[in-house]
Amino acid sequence: MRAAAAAPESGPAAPGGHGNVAAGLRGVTMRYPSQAEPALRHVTLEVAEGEFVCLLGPSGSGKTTALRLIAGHEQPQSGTVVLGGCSANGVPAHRRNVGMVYQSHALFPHLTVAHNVAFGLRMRGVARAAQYERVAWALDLVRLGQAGERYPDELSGGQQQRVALARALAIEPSVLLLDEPFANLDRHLRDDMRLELKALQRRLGITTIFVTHDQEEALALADRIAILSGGRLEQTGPPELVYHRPQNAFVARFLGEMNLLPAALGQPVPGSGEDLRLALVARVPLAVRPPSGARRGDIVAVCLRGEHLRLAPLSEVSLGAGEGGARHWSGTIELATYRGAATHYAVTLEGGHTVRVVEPAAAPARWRVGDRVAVVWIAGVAHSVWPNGDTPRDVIVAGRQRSTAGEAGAGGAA
Amino acid sequence: MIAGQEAPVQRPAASPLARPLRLALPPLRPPVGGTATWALLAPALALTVMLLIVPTLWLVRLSLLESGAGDAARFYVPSSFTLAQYRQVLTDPYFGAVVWSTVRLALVTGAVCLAVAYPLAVWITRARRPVGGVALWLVSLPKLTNALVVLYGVLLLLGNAGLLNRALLALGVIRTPLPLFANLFAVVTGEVLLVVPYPVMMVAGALWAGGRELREMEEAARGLGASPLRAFLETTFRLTLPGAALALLVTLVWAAGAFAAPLVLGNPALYTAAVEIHTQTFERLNWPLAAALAIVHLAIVAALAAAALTLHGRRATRRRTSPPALSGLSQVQRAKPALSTAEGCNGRPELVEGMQSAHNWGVRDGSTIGTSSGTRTPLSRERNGVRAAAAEAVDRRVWDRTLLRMSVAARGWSFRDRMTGWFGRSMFHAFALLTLAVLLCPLVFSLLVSLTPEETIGLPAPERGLSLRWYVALGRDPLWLRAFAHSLLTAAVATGLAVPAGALAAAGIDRLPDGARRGVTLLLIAPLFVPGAVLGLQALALSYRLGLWGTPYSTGLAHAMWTAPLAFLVVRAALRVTDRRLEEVARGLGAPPVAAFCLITLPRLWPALAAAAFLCAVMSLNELPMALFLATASNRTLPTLIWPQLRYNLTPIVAAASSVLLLLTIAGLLVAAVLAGRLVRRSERPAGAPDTRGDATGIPSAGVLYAHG
Repeated sequence: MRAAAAAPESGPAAPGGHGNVAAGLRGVTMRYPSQAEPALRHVTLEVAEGEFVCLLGPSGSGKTTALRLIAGHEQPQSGTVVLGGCSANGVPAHRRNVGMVYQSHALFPHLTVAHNVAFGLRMRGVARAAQYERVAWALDLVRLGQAGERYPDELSGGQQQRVALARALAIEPSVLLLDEPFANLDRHLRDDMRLELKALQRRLGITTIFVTHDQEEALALADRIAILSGGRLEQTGPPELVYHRPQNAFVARFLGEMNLLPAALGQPVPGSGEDLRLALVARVPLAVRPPSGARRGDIVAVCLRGEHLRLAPLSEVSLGAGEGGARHWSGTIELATYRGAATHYAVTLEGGHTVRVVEPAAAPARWRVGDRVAVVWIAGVAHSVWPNGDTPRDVIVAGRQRSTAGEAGAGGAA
Repeated sequence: MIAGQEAPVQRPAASPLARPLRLALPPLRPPVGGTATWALLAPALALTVMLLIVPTLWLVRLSLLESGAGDAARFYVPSSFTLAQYRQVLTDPYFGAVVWSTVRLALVTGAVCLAVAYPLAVWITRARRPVGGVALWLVSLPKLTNALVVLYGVLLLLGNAGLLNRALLALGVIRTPLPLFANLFAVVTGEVLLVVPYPVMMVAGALWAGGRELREMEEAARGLGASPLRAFLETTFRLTLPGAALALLVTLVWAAGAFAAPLVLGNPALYTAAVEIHTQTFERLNWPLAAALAIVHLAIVAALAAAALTLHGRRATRRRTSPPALSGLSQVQRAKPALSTAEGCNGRPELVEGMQSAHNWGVRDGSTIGTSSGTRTPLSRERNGVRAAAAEAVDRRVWDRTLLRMSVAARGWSFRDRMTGWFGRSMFHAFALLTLAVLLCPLVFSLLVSLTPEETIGLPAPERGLSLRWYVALGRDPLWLRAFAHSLLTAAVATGLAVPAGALAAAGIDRLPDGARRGVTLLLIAPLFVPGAVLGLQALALSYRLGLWGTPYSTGLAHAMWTAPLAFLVVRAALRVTDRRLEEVARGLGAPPVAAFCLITLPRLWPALAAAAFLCAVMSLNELPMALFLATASNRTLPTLIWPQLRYNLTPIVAAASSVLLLLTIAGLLVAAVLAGRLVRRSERPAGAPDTRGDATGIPSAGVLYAHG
């Protein structure tokens, strides 16, 4: 619902901007009979023709359910599933002309690769000659032209996934649905496959909905990202927008290394075009872009991205403290996690908050646990969201932050 | 295998027997050496060898003896030698007819069973959670109760004055009673009701084992445009055919051993080899002839089993079946290398390299099968390096020239779709419910009949009410009471021997190297595939030879040998789904192997052990042919006492006795289910364990096991 409200923000690829709605959900609620909680709650998501949309969310957020609804394997309790601009409610799966790729590939083990790819054509009664051409075309598309006679179990995981893709593309689907297709592949292969998929999608201009829980994947692939949590659509928009201007605390925390610090909104920043306000964030005044409808005195959660924070020796910072406002905090390093391209630090500020700082590998200094440092805010305006969102307020209050920082350090890029 | 590399490190001079498990789960305890393994296997092997192999050898010898020729004191002439028995069995048209009726009954029953069991299993695996599990238990109930109860119910239903005929007459559908009884129809009906739980469980097991994978494949097929039925046939059905073939194997084996059904429901022309063995043994007193018949009977069963196994093997290995509609595609592909003048290069990438592009295929395909190929892109253009441009052009061409019939848009579905879908689903549900009803109605009937207040058999009339008089009569009759006590004793002996032997063997079997494991497994489960009449004759002949005939424990021993495979299978299935990496964890924490097993794995096995004990006891309680062969005045079990009553002297007391057996079974079932459920809840299922849908007592697991061979 909130996503629908955010329509003006959702960027150039939004439906209504151009093209028809190729596929989507309108106010869809879906509950599995065996479960008490609905898997999707009143979700509206419309995908324009030729658009590449990623459904992103933690496991159990309803991503796959959304996909299965569009494919016709589930029926919504209320709302409309849209295909080609009209309602597809009640249309059986085999009449929808939707191509789906599964995480498990779901290749038919008793058929050769060519027969797998030809399956959809056979079901449509396509003439044999046309089938050959089509199969060859599809296999060539995924660079498996010579594998037609082999069986799926003779192929590597990446090749199997490509066959699954070819099989879905061969029927010339109106929408291509991918359900975590690369989750079972190792990292390098996954990166290659992503590039390939993106290139293919561009080349064919096919409407694509891609489900993943991997935010990197979503950010890299999508024209537009839709973030789901607990069956609700939290936000949709182009990757940059979702990343830099999250609409609520969930989205803010879900993507990247985000610190949310509570602050009361102060007076407007003089001379700024936007409606910016000053806020004291852990005793440091920052220019904050308030959430819509916020007024002076409201408590908001200010979003400080880890990569917009830098560490510096206390002495250096205090020297330059006079100019441009003192946009730094002093704190103590609690935890340092080396990650190659960057080092992640958890720093406890003097006020008691713990923030995560991402220092690029090129940063001049290495810090050790226990060092006293200055945490410098290097971006201009800070984004902010309502703190109460869907999450209890106390999550963003100190103490709890510490534990999440610890987990992030220990668990790696979850 | 990694495991193979690790083992020598831990135990440098490992015996050839000591090899880690080859299962899906990683290697467990380091092998403890051959002696320990064989010690685990010894009890079960001893049971099988002493009570199956040795008697079989004696049976072979017996079949080569001269018959006692009417001398009532002698069943055979010791230390003689003749092939006369075989000559008679193989040449006498009478025995030819017996063999034929055996084979015919097996084949017809097998076909009917599979036709009924497969859809029913599909229905069960797709029903909602509690429904499917309950239905599976209902299906297995006839198998767990006494065969005689079932046959008795069928008798009541189909007889000339049976309920079906009476109902049809009363409704005015027919004027004269239908010949539903004492014919092949009746026998097949009875036999199907007795045997069908096995294929249902096995097919359901195969479907459950396929689980999510099969479901996704079927969904994928639907997404590609296959109607629900078509999608099912193209994926799930094809892929579970090997499992179905194994189910057929078991069905054939059991139906070929049919003993009670032909006698109770058939006529002499339908009597099977098992019946004839019994007749020769007890009426003609011609044991050598009976032994020869038994050997021939075994051969029949083996032949049927081999046929079904071949079918299974073909199904399992012949993945490379092209659907007929597509065979042309592979022909064309096969033709490619031939066109490139290299014979025998089929499928070798370096040779096919030159023709990997779509247009190559198109052109070659066209020239091979004679489709017009005028519009295709010439080969050379692509070779000439404008590959990207060409590819783009082809994309556009293929994409634009929408294959007209493919544009199955969302509007393309119709009222017909909805109607066929609705109709198909309704028929499917109706079929499943009807089958379940038919499976259960014999049991319900014999229960009702046992409550009749009349002197004669029949459903209690509503105005006369129900009465427990036949139960009272049963309780007052010392003959029945003694039989009841003896049944319990027999079951206790059988369970007490079979469960420990089977469980130990299950623990030991996976330590054997591949070849030995397969052989030993086959040996251990062999008793399940030997017809009851043959087992009975063997036990009888050997105990007679050794002078043990008539001792009270003989039936219990025979049952122990017969039920040990069940215990073995159930426990092995449970062991395989139990995540024994937990045992490794315990060992890593310092527990010695035996302690790790006892503290970690054993508690998780309790449900399986309980299930195995329950199964063994129920099977023993209800077993007829062996008990019948071994019965003397001193060791009659309940079924052997019901048997003559059922054949010659029908009073409702039989129904009461049958019902007692049925109620005992159901009570045991409930206790086992509750117990197992509680134990399972206490030790939760490992994350990777297959979803057997709360059937904790492992019977479906045994089905899975069968299905995997």
